[in-house]
Amino acid sequence: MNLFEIIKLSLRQLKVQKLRSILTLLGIIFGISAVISMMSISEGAKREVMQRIQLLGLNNINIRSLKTVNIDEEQTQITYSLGLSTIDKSVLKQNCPNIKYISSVKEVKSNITFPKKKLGTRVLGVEPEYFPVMNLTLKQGRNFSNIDLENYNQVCILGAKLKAELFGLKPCLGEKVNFANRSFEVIGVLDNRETADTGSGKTDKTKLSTIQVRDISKDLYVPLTTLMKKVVKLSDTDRITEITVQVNDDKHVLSEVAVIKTILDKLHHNVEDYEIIVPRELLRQSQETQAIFNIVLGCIAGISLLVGGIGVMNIMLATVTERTREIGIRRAMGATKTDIIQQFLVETSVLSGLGGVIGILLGLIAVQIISLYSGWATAVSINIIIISFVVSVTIGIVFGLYPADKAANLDPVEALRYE
Amino acid sequence: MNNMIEFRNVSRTYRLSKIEIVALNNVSFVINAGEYVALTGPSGSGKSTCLHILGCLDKPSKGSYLFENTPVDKYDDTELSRMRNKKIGFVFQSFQLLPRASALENVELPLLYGRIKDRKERARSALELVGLGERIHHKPTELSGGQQQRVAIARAMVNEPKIILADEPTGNLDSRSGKDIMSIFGQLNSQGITVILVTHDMTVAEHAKRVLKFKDGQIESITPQII
Repeated sequence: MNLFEIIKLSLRQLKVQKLRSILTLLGIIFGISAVISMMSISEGAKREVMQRIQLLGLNNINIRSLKTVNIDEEQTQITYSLGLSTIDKSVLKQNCPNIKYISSVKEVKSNITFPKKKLGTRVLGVEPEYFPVMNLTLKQGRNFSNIDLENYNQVCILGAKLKAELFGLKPCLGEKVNFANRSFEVIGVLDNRETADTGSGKTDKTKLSTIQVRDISKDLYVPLTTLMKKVVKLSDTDRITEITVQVNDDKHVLSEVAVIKTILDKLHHNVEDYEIIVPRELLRQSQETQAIFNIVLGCIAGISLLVGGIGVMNIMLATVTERTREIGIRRAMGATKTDIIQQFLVETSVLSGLGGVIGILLGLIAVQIISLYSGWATAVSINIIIISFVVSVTIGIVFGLYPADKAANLDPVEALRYE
Repeated sequence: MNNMIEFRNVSRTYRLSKIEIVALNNVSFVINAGEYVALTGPSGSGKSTCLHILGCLDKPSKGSYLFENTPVDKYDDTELSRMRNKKIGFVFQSFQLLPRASALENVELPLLYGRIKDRKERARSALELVGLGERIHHKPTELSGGQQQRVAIARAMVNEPKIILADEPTGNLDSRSGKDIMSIFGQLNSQGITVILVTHDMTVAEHAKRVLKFKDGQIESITPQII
């Protein structure tokens, strides 16, 4: 008797008792669908975090200025350290050979006006190397030059969406954009790209910032010096928002962080008025958290599948008793013990495999519903589906072994007499 | 010698909790190929146990059972299963058909376990031989008792066994159907198949050419002694 025939036989057997088969399978169905939906949610979350971190740039190091909420503390701090400044940037640039690009960033929120339109946006004062650090490229026009910075030129570069909002499809190079009562000439437009940002306007002292995706294509960029001198009227020693660094090789990221920290601690007299954010490090940590999360999910799924398996075993034991006579008949007709074991094992694995398939489908539907209502990112990987199916069939085989063995070892004479 | 079956001092005892029940006590006999034998006796006399041992469904506790001069009491389960499949056909009082399978599928069963290819055709022709060619797709519940027993006979002979064992084959049938069934056994025997049937009904036993009468686990009489 070949496998295909046994499977056909098993399916018929299961069809005879549809309700009971379905009820038996509930444990496995729920177990598997829980596995599928949990795994998909966790996979989705994982991918999203990965994506955000990668957008920050895996070779990047961000040094952010930290403000303290406590005024007294701030007073004490200021006596020792003036906070993150362009001086820090110059020192770092001179002392760290592995830095490929480095840029100071000063961020302000402001309303900008273009003849008839007015809109609030973020204005970033940056240096020319900012764009390569952030992997941003110009679609039109040119980058800031050193001359722009030296002369405090009133020029600006627009994010792609900002350009679209202000100018639509019209050309914008050479046009003037007004902001802080000054007019800036548009010299460039960036390519449209969403990117990650380490969060702005932080007032807490947490070491690691949460990562959020912000649409930077709505930002307005001006030369750092212009912003500092002409707009907010600050000197070189005044606080800047951020220093962003790209290291020349990913192998140097961690060693470079140590170097930067040593230098800055010295410059700031060990005052913790800055934080260093390493996307690579964030990635590692999020992966660790993910691993713990997966273990917990795995345990929950394991328990529900165990319960499902016991359900299958229970029903198969009942089936063996009910079908004692059938087993006797088959034995009298020449079925060996192996034939009987095979038949019952195939039956349980078809049963649990079916439960697996239903569970997978239900899980996929659940995933769709969850992501529809919660807005969570979900990702179904084909591996999870395959593993779930294999697991459910295995459960059938494992929990079917005992009932099958019991069936095979029935005394044929007794079995035939069974009423 | 044409010995098909030989029982040498066969005993079969059961243990029911603490009591030992002797079902067969030191029984010896020989059945030749092509014989038509009836095993009779009151219930509990050991005739059914004898049939089960003959059919390799049970093993003797003591003594030896030779099938075609080969002792089978040392066979393992797989070898006994093969014996039942290839050499022996069973017919039972309560038909023992699979209730959810069609007549055809029931008849296919021994071929299935015998790993035989053209099962459908062979099963169909076996059913035609017992006069059920028109009802091959009926389930047992859709057939009369006599028809069910004929399906069982078709199933017993489909694998071309050497011997057919029947346990009270007419016990659950009306006399007309019983007669039909007995005539089929007669035909099978005339084709050279050894038929051994267990019955307590003497009118049925009369169809046999030899009668082994059991009493208290032993053979009381064999008539006629030699054919």
